[in-house]
Amino acid sequence: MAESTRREALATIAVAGAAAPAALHADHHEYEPQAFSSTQYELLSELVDVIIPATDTPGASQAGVARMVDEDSVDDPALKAQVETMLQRFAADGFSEQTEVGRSLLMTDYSKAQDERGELFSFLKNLAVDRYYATEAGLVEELGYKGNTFLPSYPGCRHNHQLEDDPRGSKA
Amino acid sequence: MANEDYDVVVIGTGAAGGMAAWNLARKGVKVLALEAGEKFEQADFWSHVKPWEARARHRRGDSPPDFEGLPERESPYSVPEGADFQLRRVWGVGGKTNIWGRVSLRFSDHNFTEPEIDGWEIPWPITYKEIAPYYDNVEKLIGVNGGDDDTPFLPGSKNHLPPPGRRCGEKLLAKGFDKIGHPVVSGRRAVLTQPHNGRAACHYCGACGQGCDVSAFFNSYDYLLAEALETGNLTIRQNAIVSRILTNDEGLADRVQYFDRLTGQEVQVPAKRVVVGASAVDSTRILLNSKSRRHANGLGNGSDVVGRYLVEQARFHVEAFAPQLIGSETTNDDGISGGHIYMPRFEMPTEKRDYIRGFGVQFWGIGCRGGAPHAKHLPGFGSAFKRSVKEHYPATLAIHPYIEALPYKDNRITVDENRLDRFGVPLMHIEYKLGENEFKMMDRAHDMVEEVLHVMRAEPMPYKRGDYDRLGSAIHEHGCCRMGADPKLSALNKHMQMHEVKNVFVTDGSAFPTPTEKNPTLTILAMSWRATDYLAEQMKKGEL
Repeated sequence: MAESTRREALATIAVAGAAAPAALHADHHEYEPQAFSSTQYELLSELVDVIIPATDTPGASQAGVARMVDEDSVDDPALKAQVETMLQRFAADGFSEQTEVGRSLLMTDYSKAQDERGELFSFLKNLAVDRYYATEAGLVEELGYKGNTFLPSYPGCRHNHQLEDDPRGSKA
Repeated sequence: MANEDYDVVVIGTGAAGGMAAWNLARKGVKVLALEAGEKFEQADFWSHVKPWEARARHRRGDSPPDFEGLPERESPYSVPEGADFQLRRVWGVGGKTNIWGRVSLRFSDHNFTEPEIDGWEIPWPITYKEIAPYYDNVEKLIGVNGGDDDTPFLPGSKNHLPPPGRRCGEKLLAKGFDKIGHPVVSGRRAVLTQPHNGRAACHYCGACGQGCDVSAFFNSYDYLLAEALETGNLTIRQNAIVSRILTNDEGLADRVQYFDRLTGQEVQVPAKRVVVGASAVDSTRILLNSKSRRHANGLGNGSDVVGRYLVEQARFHVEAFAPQLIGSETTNDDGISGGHIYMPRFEMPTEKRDYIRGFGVQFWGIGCRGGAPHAKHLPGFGSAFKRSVKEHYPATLAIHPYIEALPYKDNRITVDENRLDRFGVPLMHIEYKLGENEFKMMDRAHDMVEEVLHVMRAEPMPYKRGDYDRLGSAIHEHGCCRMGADPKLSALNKHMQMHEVKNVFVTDGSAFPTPTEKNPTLTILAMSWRATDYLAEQMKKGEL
């Protein structure tokens, strides 16, 4: 589980690009941000989509992540300040002016940085992950969550898992 | 209120108080139960609110019942500077049984006799044989699912309902633990896997922590208090924050003082006999604040053990990914919420090792959950990261050892005359530390966890060996009013009756001389049943 390299980042972009030609911002176009300016909100949406892009399931901004961050920032000035610091830093690095490949390369640099940029990357990733996987899009459409329902019985696992099974799903 | 004439005043309505109230009321004893909070209404539970709906509801200003907020607002506790103790309390009818973990493990004969063998602190004044019939009674009453896979540290039961099926990750863990020679068994949990005593079976929504909307797991109100109310012998008074037990010239209890939370009024209710069952910590606060000429050190505390020997298990948590399940199909892993397997303690009392006592291992948070907390532990970003989160989603494992801690005299609760609640009653101060024995045992548990992960080829999520959970986090506080044969070393006799105050019984976890490695609620229910059988008998004989 090594950190992605630049080469992997490029490959990632190629795959994502094939599946979803552009980031789908269906949600945020209809939303008036409360805590941030529309420029800030645009950048925030772009950033969370680099963390969790649209594939065959919605990406972060389409799932409402940027909107949730904006809503949460209205009630939480400390969060708002942290988000603003992060946005300033990415803006100063010309994130928005980059091509998709360039954005991914820049994000790779942040993800590997041992300084403040590394911390901003973790902060951004947590912002996106915490909210995305709590949405119906993230939990049900993407992960296939089947829980919190009514079952008449609970038979449990019906597979024949063995310790010797190979990783990635090859099982009896 | 001057005409109040009750045979027994019970303080608290959780496992200990609820059992006492039920057992006495059904025997025709007139009971007044004092409860600091109010009843939680099932209709308000968020049992079937999906994770994404919760956010929208919160934004509308809705909220689920606030199970844990009240005690901290009314009766906050302090700890020494730089120290930590996480005290989780529920004030409200049924107490913590509204949202408890439902793990229902019998203590074994070894658990009761071991202090005598290793000589650490005082022995239990009762044996497994004496408590076993009460375990039977409780299991039949509340319904406990489990296997017949007994071990020396996990005595069998003929009363178990069928255990739920094991999840994929649990089946693999069972194979892993088999391989290292410490087999797991089916968990023992107070969840109805089939209809029982007229109650509906569990529907496996997995939301037990929100409170059960169909009472498919034991909680004190639905299983005990509701029936006791029907006898006409029980009165429950809500919003009654008990401050002190007051005594007469002979030093016997004759009134219970409480403050009405809504009006702020002080009330002194006459009490011929008192059963204290407000949880180890709040019962201790009440006893220590009950100072009088005859009880200068707190009620029944000539021995100075009340407030001392606070003891609570230590825990740590290791999460990992099962390689066998990475990329497998998403499953509904809710089950009865929490573990369906349990690894019983394996160290025998006389076995040579560098610590005394032992640990058991619990498992929860296995497989697909209503969130993806594992995602933060996966590297990278972008579509490769997104795919990795999905592939690892069904593969999460979690291992939670429970380390028996030894009772130490200086681990204690005191009341602070300089910190008062809004009624002028001193608040609690909690001092709690782990000792050498606990750290050695934790080290052994770490070895075992690493061994099992190795044989499973599982990849642990980041953790630091030696880190442990917040003290108090097991929510299994014990001690502070321990039972024992010697009145100089204990506060209660084998019937949970105060050595020094014959008409006061303390029937919650504060009575336990040791915490064992197990969860206490089943034993609290059994002991409170047994103690109140004795109380009713003594009343009948005219002895009390």
